[in-house]
Amino acid sequence: MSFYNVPTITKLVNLSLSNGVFPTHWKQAIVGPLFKKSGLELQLANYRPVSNLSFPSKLIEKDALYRLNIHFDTYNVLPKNQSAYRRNHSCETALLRFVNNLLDCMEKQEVTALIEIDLSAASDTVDHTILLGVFHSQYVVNGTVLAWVVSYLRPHSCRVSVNSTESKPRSLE
Amino acid sequence: MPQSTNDGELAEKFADFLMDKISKIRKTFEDFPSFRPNVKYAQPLENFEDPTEKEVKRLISELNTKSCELDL
Repeated sequence: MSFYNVPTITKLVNLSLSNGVFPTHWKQAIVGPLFKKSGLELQLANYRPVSNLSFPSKLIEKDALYRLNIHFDTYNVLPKNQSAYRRNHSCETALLRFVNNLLDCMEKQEVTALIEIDLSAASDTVDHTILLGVFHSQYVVNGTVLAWVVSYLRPHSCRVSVNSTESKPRSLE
Repeated sequence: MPQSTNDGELAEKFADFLMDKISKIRKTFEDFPSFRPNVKYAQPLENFEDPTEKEVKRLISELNTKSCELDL
């Protein structure tokens, strides 16, 4: 891989992060419907929307995440039991914790109940007001960084692509 | 994919379906009691440090070598 463009790319990432702005153009996603699993009926509900973003978009996102994670780790602000989207955590560590708690309770002759919630999801259904409140109060993020997150979240649009034929853009405002 | 006369029509249909699904899910939040996040105390993160070329290079190598129509 040749890296002769690195100074220019670094400058682009820098401009986004230092101004607290995520370029609108790089927020448009191409959504490809992906069949959930074979054997299901060929109807729209059985296709998962997979969003593709441009390379600079993913790179800026990744750099911001890298910096946010340093802050989160330093001040230990993430919820104790969060296992996803977090370094050194996975399904495996979540299960390990669960089995351990279960055995602990059995040892103490306690009854254990497990509640599972299956969240219905489609792209971009996270409530932005709630998310920004969490960023501000719980993650202690302010100023240009918070402005960057606001800009990253909205406005935003997508197009659906079927065999390279694209739909008209849809706003996700 | 489901029956359709052409790819363009199918793309529009799926886009409409998706927008409808998103707006339905968002509606269920409407009468959700207002959420109060935990308040934690820490040195606030206000500015991102400038990324270095070395760091950007490392992040590029870590990204999946995938591309899509938007990269053309």
